[in-house]
Amino acid sequence: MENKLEQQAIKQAMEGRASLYWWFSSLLIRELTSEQLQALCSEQGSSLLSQLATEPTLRPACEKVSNELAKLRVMQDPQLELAADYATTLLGDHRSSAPPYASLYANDSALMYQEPHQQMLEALSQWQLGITLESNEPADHFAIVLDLMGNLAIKSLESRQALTAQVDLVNSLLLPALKPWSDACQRHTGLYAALSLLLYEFVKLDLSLLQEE
Amino acid sequence: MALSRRSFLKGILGSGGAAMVGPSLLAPLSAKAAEETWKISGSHWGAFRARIAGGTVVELKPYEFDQTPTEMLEGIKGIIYSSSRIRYPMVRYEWYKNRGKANPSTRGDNRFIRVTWDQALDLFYQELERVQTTYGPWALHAGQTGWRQTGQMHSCNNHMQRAVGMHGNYIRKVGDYSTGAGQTIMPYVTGSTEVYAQGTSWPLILENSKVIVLWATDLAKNLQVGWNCETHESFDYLKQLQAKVADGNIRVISIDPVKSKTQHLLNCEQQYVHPQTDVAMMLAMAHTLYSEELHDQDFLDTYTLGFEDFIPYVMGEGEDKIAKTPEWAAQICGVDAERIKELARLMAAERTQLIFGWGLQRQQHGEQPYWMGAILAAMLGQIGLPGGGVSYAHHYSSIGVPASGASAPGAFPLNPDRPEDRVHQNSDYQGYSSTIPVARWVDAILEPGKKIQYNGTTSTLPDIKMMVFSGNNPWHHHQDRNRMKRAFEKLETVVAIDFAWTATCRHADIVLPACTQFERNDIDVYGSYCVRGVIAMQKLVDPLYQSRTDFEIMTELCRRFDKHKQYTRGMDEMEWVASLYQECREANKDRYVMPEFKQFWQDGIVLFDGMNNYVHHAAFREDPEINPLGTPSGFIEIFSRKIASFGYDDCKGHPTWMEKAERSHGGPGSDKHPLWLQSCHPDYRLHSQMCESKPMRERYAVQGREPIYMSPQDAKQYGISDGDLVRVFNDRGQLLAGAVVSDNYPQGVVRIHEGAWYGPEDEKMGALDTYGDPNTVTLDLGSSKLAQATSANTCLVSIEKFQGTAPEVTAFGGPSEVAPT
Repeated sequence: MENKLEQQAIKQAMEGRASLYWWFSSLLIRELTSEQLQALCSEQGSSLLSQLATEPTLRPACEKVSNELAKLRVMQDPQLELAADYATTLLGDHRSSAPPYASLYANDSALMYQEPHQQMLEALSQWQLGITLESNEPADHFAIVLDLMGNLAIKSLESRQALTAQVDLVNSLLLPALKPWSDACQRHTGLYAALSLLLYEFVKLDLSLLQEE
Repeated sequence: MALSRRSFLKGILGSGGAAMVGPSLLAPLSAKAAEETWKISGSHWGAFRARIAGGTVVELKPYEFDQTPTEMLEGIKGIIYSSSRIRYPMVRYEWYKNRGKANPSTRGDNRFIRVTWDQALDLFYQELERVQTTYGPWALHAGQTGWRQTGQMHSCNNHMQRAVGMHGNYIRKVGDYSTGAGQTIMPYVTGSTEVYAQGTSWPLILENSKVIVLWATDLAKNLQVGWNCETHESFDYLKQLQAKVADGNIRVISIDPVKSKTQHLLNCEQQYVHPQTDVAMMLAMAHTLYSEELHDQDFLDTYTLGFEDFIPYVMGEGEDKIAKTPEWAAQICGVDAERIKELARLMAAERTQLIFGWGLQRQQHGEQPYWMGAILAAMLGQIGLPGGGVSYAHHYSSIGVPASGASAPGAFPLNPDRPEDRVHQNSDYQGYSSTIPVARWVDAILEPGKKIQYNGTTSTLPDIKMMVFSGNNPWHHHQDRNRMKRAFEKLETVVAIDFAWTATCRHADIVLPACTQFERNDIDVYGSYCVRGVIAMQKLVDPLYQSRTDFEIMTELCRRFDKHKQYTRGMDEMEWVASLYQECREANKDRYVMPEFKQFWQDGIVLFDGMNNYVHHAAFREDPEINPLGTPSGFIEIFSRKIASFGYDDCKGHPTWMEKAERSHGGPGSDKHPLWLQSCHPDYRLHSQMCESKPMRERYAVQGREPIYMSPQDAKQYGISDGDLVRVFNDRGQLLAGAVVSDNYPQGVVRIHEGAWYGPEDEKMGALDTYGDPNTVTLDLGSSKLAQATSANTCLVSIEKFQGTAPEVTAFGGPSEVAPT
């Protein structure tokens, strides 16, 4: 009975992790739809952030995100403003903004499609997953890496290998890139700078928990 | 234990939270590993083979025919995978919200938003429609074009102008930034532009010349790049010349203020001359030739017109009553009078090939040194002889390499096939000129309606409201950035199509991401002038991000006004490439066997083995009656009645020495800003192309900035050491550059290569350029009323060691950052 309860808890935890990784992935891959923005600015968004903030290491970033959402709520055209923030923070060059690709933070070459891209291609191939985006994006776009993490979280309920793969992916690719990326995001104010902090803190926490498990 | 700490995840993003999560980016797929392949392609920097692994270009090797490949090939990966790539269609935020009412002064300092391709092309089309119907063709300038990526099918100039031309008429340019003065004056003098004409073949020069004068030309630097795919065969001949110099068979004299790369390669003599004073030196050489009866009177009598109207000016019997003696010239040009005489005597005594570069005519009165060069050559009487005469282009695109005689592949058409294909037939420019001199468009924006003299006509500058740039970066090649800033504030709409965030894109309203030439299939001539072959440009990787080929972009634009079928002629990319090849194959069928297209594409290249030597102007020399030049008289015009009839004070009926608006070494303005800034073509890139390639930039940048080359004397005087950051300034602007102290430079001369990307510290007028674009400080002035060409090399600056914390380089960024509202 106890074992069953624990399995249930593990399942919930992994599903929760997967949902969070997919949530972060959706925030990074494109501008928010009006439905996504509405949900984020509503009770649902507040409750999500409150729940995350129960974890002490996530609380400061959650507060920053909440503050940015509060600013958005009083804007005349929040969706458009947010789209401009998105472009300013993520779609420019790495000098003026913080493009969400691991390659740019892997070394100081400032080139795209470097080792992290190849590493992701191998991982996707290993787990027999393909990118469904219409745009020809490098596989090391953080949104794709995060989506894979979500997939692996679910797979890890049945595969020990998937659990190890997550630790490897976070250790070797995600976490080393997220820190400088998040730092670069802080050159801007706005929701995306706050979210980058929350993502970094969450992945850091997740890794420590994965390693404990 | 850890599980308990997962409690914050319990039920997270459950039923209600699903709305916050978008669709998955991944799907089950039985992926197979991408095969490793080698492909062939070409570029301005030469032909190469590329290894593709995992869908990525991992290695480039020069094509084996190329015996002197340029190291710039190594910068190509830096172009493809640059973080400066434009990844998505973008629209300037302020413009997106307010369109015509957008505050134009925010251009260049504003945020962008991403739009879909459909939105972007709708906006582009709506703006074309608005400008054509609200104003007319005079308000749209889509004629500013430049060095596109290579490839005959995808040449972006042709695509943009054909597509926009199918919608309506627009303003066009005449001339170009490289050779504006030369190509305008020389048709009056020798009947062709000369700057783009085939020159005497190197084997004949090597065999016959005893003296070669390299007048302000740096062959070894500039021959690294070509208009089409470059073969670098010219370097084989430079190596032979090097041996002949060493053996004492040929004497090469580089007349240049700077010790050039070519001078070092050939280990030849240098004759220093003060910047911008070459005409004075040449006039004095003419004085010596005439005074000492060393000139070829028979040649002048037989092949030229107007010597008798010119020589009084030289001998002090003209209007100014000043004899252009070597002693007179020495005061101006800094060359000893005896040395001037010695050089004139040497040239008269030996078979002498004069070879001029283009930098000389990129200055105020830039027409004069070219004209005077032709007169010197005419006085020597060797024009039309192998190894004698004058050339204006041996530094360019394999000119002088014996040509195969084959036909090169044609290109995707530049214009609509039929005038009636245009949606808007309106060709009423309302008194404005429909074509304007290339470098005067900023004048037009700032002073619409102004009448300027140009090449015997009056040009009325149009009131430009919208500009379209494709593969063209005027925020590199035009002069005086702060003046440009003022001009751009007056434009209503700017569209830029490019693959990287150039400064032009950052000052645009609609930015469309084209793919690089390495992401499309194409065809090109191998060797622009020698036509050594035809090369397949095999697509290395698919277009990255959301970029598209120019063909696709413009097809979709034309679809919006129902002209896409006429635009494409019903053919796709590969059908176009195949058809260009087939036409070329047909044109060459009597001379060269070319395989079927399928075989050609598989082989990657077809080479032509013909090596035809050529002597420039030999036919004219043989019989000037049967083979007249294209001048009004058919002869070399030493005095041009036509030009004299224009009555210009800055370009008279014969070459004259005229003082410049700014000149170093005691000339006007040198008391305030003492140093001459030379902004010649770069050694490590093609104009501004490849500046965004970090691997290449790391080879030459100093503290991340463009180098400023200077003499040890100037460095000492200004307290600057090699490697220091330097502020370069004058009354027009200021920039940061990194000091390279070198014996190659004389006192009073500094160099910053043109093409350095512009990256101002902020959006304010006069802001410090953080990377080192020389056109931040250059003068925006027409060369004369004849050519109205660029005068970039008429420029004085001051320098000082930069103190304090250097600002971050902003040149290679995307849209500028501003605090969100």
